[in-house]
Amino acid sequence: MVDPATIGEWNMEGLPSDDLSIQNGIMVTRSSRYPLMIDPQSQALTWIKQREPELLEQNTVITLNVPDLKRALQFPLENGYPVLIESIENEVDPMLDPILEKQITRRGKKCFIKLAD
Amino acid sequence: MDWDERFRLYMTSRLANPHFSPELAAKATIIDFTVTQGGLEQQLLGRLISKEQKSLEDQLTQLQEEVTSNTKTLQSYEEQLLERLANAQGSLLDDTELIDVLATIKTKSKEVNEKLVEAKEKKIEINDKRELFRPVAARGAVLYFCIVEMTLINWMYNTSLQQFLGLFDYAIDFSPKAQLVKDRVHNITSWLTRRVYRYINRGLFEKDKITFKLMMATKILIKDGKLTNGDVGLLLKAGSGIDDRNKPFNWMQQKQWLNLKALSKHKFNTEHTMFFKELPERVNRNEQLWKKWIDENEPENTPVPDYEEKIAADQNIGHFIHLCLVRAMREDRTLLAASQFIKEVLGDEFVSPVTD
Repeated sequence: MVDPATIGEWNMEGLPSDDLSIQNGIMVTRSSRYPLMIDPQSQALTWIKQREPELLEQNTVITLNVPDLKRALQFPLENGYPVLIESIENEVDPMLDPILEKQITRRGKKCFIKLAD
Repeated sequence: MDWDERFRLYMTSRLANPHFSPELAAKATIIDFTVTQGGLEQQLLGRLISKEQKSLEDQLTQLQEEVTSNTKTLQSYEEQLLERLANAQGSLLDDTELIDVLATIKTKSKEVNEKLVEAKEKKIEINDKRELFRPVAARGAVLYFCIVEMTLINWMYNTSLQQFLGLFDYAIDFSPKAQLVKDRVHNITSWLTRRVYRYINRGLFEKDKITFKLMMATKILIKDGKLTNGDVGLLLKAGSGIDDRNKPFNWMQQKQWLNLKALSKHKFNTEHTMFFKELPERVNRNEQLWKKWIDENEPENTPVPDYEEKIAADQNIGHFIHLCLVRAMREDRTLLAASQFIKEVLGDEFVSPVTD
């Protein structure tokens, strides 16, 4: 699924180099759905943060408890930046559903997504 | 609102064992990044090598890069070749230019192939050198999981992987250097074990300290292949899983008898086939002797009737078998026997009182 060069790149970004982590890396990068990582030792967190430097530049590392989740998501959604939601507990805010399910409507060249409040 | 194609979403959870709803599982890819013992071992090995033998790790990365670029060149040659053949016009044999190209591609790909073979051999060599350090990584992983399991006793005992890696680095940096790799490995391993013990021990309640040490000792033996989980199970459960009302000795308590039965049926490790198979019979024959041993003030320090020599002869797990016997017959002396066992497996330092 990946060549050694990519794996080497991931390792540089902080992904541990054991087989399991590499498999996980493949799943994160190749999966069509968004990844939800079970990560008690924060290894995935470290990796993703290194991998997506825009997360820190745009300050888009958030939790579900931010005061206005919709506003926090709007900017990256419209401008194409990555978002990292930390410390998910057992439930995920249903507001995220349209994003997770990628309910995108296409009008002409532009794409739209509808978020509930 | 607008949607930009480049948008990406990541989610992480800190819970070790979360319960996500099936709906959520359908909507997102759930990936488990929890470290496993094998995975941690590999990580620790990489960490160790990069500190201990930097050149080796560098060589390996360099080699990997070379292999990748070589494989890529090989692929492009093959593509070129196919393209030439596909686009050739007229008889192939008349096209001298094409034949020349074919010849160069052939020699070049031969060169690349040779390089690849060379790289493969070198890789095996480097891996062999790396393997020499594996015992340290293995021990590290075992210790980390001991620490993690302590959380089951008390939530307060949570220790992060970061903390542990700190200890690991400390052991590498400060343990005595040695000429031979074997000695060096031994040095790091013992430093690491001691360091982790002292560090964790400091944070434990008095009553849990022996649990931690016993866990360390048994897990290390399991990792070495000397014990199995079943053996540890016997030590913990003894005879509580069986039922037998026909206790032949009046002086013995029911519980002791059940423990004795369990012992006699247990197969230690894999090679030890029922170490105590004849135990009930022996006790029957030497009833007075056994009764005396069981009623002893310090049975753990008194020679075991019938079995003393056999236990002493077992270099690998004689101490563990002895511990099981004491636990079965004299539960109240288990902790003291456990201390002896820990002392034999890990060393004096692990049972002597510490003041920090």
